[in-house]
Amino acid sequence: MTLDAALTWDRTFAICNKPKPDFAGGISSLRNSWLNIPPSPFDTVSLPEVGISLQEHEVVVSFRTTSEIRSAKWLNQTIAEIVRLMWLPRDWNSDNPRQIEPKSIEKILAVLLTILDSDSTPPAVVPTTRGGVQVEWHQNGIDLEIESFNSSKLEYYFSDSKGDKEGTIEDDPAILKQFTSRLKTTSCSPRV
Amino acid sequence: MSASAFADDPTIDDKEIIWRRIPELQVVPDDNLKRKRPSSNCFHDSTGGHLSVYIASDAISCQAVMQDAKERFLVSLSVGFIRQLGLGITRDSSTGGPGHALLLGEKGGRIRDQMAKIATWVEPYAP
Repeated sequence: MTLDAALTWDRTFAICNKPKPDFAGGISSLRNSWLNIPPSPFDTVSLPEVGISLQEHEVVVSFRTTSEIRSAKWLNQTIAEIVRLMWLPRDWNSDNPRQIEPKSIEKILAVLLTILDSDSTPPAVVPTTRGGVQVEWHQNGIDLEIESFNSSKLEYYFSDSKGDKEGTIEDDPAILKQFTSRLKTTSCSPRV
Repeated sequence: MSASAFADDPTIDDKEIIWRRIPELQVVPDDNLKRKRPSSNCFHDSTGGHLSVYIASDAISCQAVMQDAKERFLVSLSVGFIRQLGLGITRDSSTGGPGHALLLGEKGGRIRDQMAKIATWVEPYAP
């Protein structure tokens, strides 16, 4: 039995209200105030891993995940921070940035749903000049950064006390799962 | 003009300080360093294929560099450190005003990470 078959997968919808025009007002003013995930499960018709539908005043994010992940603390916060980048002004920095691509947003959400656990730490979320989204963690002596860009590509950088590793992948996030597992590992010894 | 068309300018001393403007949306918490720092992506080449900085001694002031900028914050690095990473620098005041310069060379994940960790916030433009 595969891991997937052992779990109950539900389609989940996150409904995010459109941010206020003063986007640069700060993340804290938006966080936790515009996300609602209905608790009831939906049918399990096959969908793309993550789908984003833009409405006039809101965006609907649909994805399939487990009930464990649906209750994860990182989920609401991270979806909110990533999806709001869809309304990022075109000139958000001085480097002539590209518009954030919805496909990059879908891709990074799909990856996070695959590689994070219910007790994972939320990543920091930053827009990137080439129209992508980067998530990153800097904890337990580890630096991990994953950027989704150009619709389908993922670029990663991992560093710990033993060295570093970087690369580009298309679809298989297995190596990223190894890295996120390491984020939980600490050098503390159990008390005896 | 692409950054690769430039060569490192040896008249810029290793002791010179350079400034890089940082958008508020690219400031991240770093539990390892116990402080906020720029995301490594702040040191990714722009869509024009270069990384824009200002040489502090050539610029009018940090206030002038930040005037009308879309970014809220400013960090500093030394030219010597940049060269240790294998990068070069060339003046480019024609496109960015007094003090404007471009950092040259491949900026992979490791180099961007080191720049982000070493970069020092410049007051009063610190988060």
